[in-house]
Amino acid sequence: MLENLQLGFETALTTENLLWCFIGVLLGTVIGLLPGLGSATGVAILLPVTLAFEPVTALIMLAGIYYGSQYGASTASILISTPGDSSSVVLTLDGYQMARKGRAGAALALSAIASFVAAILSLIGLIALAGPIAAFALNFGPAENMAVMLLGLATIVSFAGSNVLRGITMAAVGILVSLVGVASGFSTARFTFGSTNLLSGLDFVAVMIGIFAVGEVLYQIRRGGEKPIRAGFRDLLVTKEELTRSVTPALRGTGLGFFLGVLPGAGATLASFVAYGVEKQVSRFRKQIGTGAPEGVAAPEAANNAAANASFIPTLALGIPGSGTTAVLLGAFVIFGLQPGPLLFEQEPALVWGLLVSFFIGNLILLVLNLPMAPVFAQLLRIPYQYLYPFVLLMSFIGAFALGNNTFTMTVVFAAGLVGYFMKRYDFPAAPFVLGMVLGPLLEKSLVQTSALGDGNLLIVFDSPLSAILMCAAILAFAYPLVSGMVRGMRNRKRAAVPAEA
Amino acid sequence: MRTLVSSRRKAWWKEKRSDIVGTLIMGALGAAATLMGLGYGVFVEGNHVGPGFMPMAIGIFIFGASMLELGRILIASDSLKENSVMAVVETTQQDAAEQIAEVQGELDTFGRTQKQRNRAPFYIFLVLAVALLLVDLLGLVVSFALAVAFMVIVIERRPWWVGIIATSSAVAFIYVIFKLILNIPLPTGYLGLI
Repeated sequence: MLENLQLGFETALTTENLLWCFIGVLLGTVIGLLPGLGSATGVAILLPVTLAFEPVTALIMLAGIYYGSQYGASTASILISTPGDSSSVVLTLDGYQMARKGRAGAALALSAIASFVAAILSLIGLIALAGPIAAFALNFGPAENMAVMLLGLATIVSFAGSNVLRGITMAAVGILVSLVGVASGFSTARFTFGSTNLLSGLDFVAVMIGIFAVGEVLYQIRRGGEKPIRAGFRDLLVTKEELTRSVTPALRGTGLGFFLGVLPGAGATLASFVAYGVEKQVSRFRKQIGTGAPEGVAAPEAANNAAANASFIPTLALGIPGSGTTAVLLGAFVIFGLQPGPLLFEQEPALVWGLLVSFFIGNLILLVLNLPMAPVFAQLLRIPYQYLYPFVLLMSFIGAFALGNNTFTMTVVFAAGLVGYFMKRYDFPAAPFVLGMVLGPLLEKSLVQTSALGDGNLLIVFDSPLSAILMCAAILAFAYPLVSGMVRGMRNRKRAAVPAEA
Repeated sequence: MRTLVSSRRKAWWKEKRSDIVGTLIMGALGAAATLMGLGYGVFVEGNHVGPGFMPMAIGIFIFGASMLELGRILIASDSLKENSVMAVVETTQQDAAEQIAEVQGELDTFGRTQKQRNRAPFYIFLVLAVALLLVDLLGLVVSFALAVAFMVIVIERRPWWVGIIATSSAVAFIYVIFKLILNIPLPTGYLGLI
């Protein structure tokens, strides 16, 4: 472990990597801050710009955008009650209320401190767990791989809220989209409708740019913009009481966020909501939550940062993205010729450990940047969106062209943007779709391998104890929300019928 | 009485229309994928998984889930998962949505009404589609520069000189990054300008 960390520090502390780490987290803060530009959008549109970099430098910068945006996103929620990213939606409650009471600066400072504490604690967890999980996953055969992927898909369903069926549908549509083109192991072209452009499938990053950049930006245009509340440097002083009250919620949020972040499909957004909900139930000051309480800022902010870091565990160790943004990052790995998963730790130790160590450095930079500079960043909220979105759209299309070097990639971005806009408008979740798109080809590959191993008998997944346990867990995770939904529906109907009869 | 029932039905249809149409589209997609999967061959020699297996299985899955969702929309209520983690999440989501909606008035900071904002994405998609079609003729940079200028000057109603400055800056940035630094051969079209 110490050797790995030393290797990581040697890689992350080169002048070039330090510089791009700084640029990444700075851009992340700005991108997170601007409504309509979330972390996934930022990573997707800036990915083409990193094509000329060394893979480790590019990934350090792109990951910096991801966790940097977690810091920036809260500023928009606190000051204009318009979340910069979905993971900071919950801050529109207590964060915005604190701002209305003249404590905007304190809310920004509390969110930066909670984010930093959570990031450091979750990074220790990430470094401690990612390696051993990857080493354990090296023993997986096709059956275990298939079971793990089905379990990953099942967790998406479990956390899809009242939209369980939409979550399932979108994950399946994502898989279906990933099947376009000639599949590896077969010579049949699927869903190409005679187009030669589609033979090699739909470019994953182009689809991500369409959904997260074009779709999100256009949805934001539909929503409109708000005037920010002013936050001064003097307001940044947090009172002793606010700080004391925030310690336990931040630690609770970190624990919850880390646990949920490890699960594919759960991610930072869910973690922040759960942490807030838990505080509302267990906090000593629960009656004040919702009216501008520091607990309502510290807990969700810690949770979303912890989850963002923890989502790298399944991404790096198993090749299964923990969130929408890590799915886009996974696309970046593939562009640089790397396949995230257990073998990555053996084959590219400098890259993996350099990336992980850069998270520590990046979070330190973010604290130094965000704590005193939050009011400066807040001024960016005054940039008129009318000038910003045409530039983002321009970057998206030209960037997509740079990725594929053909105009068809831009058509894919356009179509995916249209789909992404309607998904957002009609509340079809994007994360299951993205995870489905990533897992589709891997699932099919392990399915074909399992079929070959069992000579056509897929039930061999229950032969090995590990894959049998994973499969049972996946079946339970799929069935539980559906069955419990049906039982609840029946119970509700019975309850509704009783007064009518009475 | 009949008018009351009719207006209730109309209100119900208006509220649920997009959900029903969206779910039906998903169902049709699932059915189409199933049929196409069958065409690709579900099993190959030796009863092994064939190229049509996944499309067929996923198609059935989408179709089934869409029909269940349709049933939920038409029959069931949108009740929360009582006493569960997701109930806490959904309650908080509703609170946050109400807070955001409360802050959002009819006019945004740019003085646009909701109606104007609803129309804007449609026009922007149209402009982007035209820009894509013009790439072969004008080249990538020129066609998208025109699109940006159109968005700023016509859709956002900014002064023409502001639009020109904004477009020139954006194009200069793009040109330096992609053409000069990354050496990406951006298509110049039949006109061969930049």
